[in-house]
Amino acid sequence: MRHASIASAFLLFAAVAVLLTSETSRAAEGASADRGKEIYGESCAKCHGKSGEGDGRAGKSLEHKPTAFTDKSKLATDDKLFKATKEGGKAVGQSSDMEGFPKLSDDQIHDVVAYIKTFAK
Amino acid sequence: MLCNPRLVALACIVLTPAAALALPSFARREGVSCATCHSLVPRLNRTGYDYRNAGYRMPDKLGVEDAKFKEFGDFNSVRSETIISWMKSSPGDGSTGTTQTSINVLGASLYPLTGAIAKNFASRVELDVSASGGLSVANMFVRGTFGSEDHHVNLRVGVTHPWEGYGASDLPAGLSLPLALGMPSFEAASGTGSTYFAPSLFNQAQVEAGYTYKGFNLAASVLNGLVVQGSGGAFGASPAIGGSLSRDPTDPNHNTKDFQVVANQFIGDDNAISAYYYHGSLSLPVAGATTPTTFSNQFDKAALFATLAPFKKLWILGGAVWGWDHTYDATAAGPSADRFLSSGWFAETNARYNESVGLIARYDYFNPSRSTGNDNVQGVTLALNGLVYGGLQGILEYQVLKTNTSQSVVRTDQSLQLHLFFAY
Repeated sequence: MRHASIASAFLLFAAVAVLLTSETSRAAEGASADRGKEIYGESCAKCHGKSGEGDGRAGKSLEHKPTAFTDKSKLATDDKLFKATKEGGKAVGQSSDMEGFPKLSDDQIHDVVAYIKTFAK
Repeated sequence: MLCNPRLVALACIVLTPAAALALPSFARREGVSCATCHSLVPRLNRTGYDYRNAGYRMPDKLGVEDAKFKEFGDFNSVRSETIISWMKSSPGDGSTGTTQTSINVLGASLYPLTGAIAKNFASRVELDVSASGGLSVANMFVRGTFGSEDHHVNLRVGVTHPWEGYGASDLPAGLSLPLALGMPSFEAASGTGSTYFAPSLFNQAQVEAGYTYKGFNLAASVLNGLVVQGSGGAFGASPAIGGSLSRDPTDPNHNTKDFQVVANQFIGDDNAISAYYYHGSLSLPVAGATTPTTFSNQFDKAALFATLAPFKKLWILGGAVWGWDHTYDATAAGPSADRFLSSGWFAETNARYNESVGLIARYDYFNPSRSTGNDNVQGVTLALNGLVYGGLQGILEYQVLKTNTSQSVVRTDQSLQLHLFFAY
């Protein structure tokens, strides 16, 4: 009986997780790099550079150089990029010099992440 | 002369805190952390210097229509300041000194309508509201910046700090100004007393034109100068910004304007040298005169500054300041034919532990009149600067000042101050 309860709870958890994941995936799948380009230019380029090389003018005095997005092998996962953009660098174990952008909607952040990925070669 | 009370009184001036200035509205507007523009809040790094110089915008946004003029918090800040202090003055003759402890709510500073406007303009307003309810204007100016990211012209009109420096020539990261920038020249022998003016003491009304080419900046200003007012031997200086703070029509310097030029050259991203020159006119009260009498002091100040950043978290700063002033000549019933020289220098280190905490150590030397023996003031200042949480900042500073004559140390002043700022 106890095993059945645990199994039910596990199945319920798995179902919810699948639903949530598919929701996130749908948002990510609908992301537009074109829309993200404008937001990136306004909010990210000043530190990360217009070409994503981490060479923006506002970032040059920072203790920790802004992340470059040009090396595909070093590019963080979508989830990590999403979280860093929304909550700031500290939320993903990076520098607190990177502030979060809580005013951006999840869709906008997915767009930005999509655009960031276009830098990676 | 074992004890010169006027010289001793001057030493207290350096205890006057220099207001820390860092505006969260700029960080909010740009979506960046404080560390983007500050090495140690409020001291600016190169990015902060360039941001200010481009009219409170990133230089590559100069001439670009600003789409972010949308939120109240992007253009408005407020800051409160509370001071907890302990001060002790000890005469050099071993007699009993005085000790004072206090908790003071200095008040609040309001920064409405501060930031970049449209493509080329900016404004800055700073209104100080004292705890007793008085309102004063600390900054109120508009600026126009025209040109490109690396090559532009700046125009500023209004009440502002006389110049915008970098590192050693900028406002301090601790609480107190270097003596040579915050202490007026002083001639003890003639009894003339204080000359009131010091390079960083007063925000003045001015018109400034500046030119920037990459890491070089040159700014020239015409300033309204100061006005000395008072009676019964108690005088004070204020910036002549109009209204009751205007020079009297009978003042021989009523229509005279001061002049200033400041140059700054970056060497790499974090190192810089700066030069400063100021010519001013100020009618000073004649000490001991039975009827109110003034004489005109035509004075000059010059300074050189250097800022070095040998490592990422360490800055070494230094400055030397010279001044030339007239004294009152009773025989001629006017200013003396010759001028006396004052000079001072400081050396400082700023070390940052992390994004939020830093240490400041400074040595000061100031000789308010080189014609009066070896009278001088020397100081050692240690400060801990920390962003405690969010908009809460604390600066703890210990300072010891020794006021000397040619004979001996005549006074030692110590102070321990904790200033708590909360800014939004």
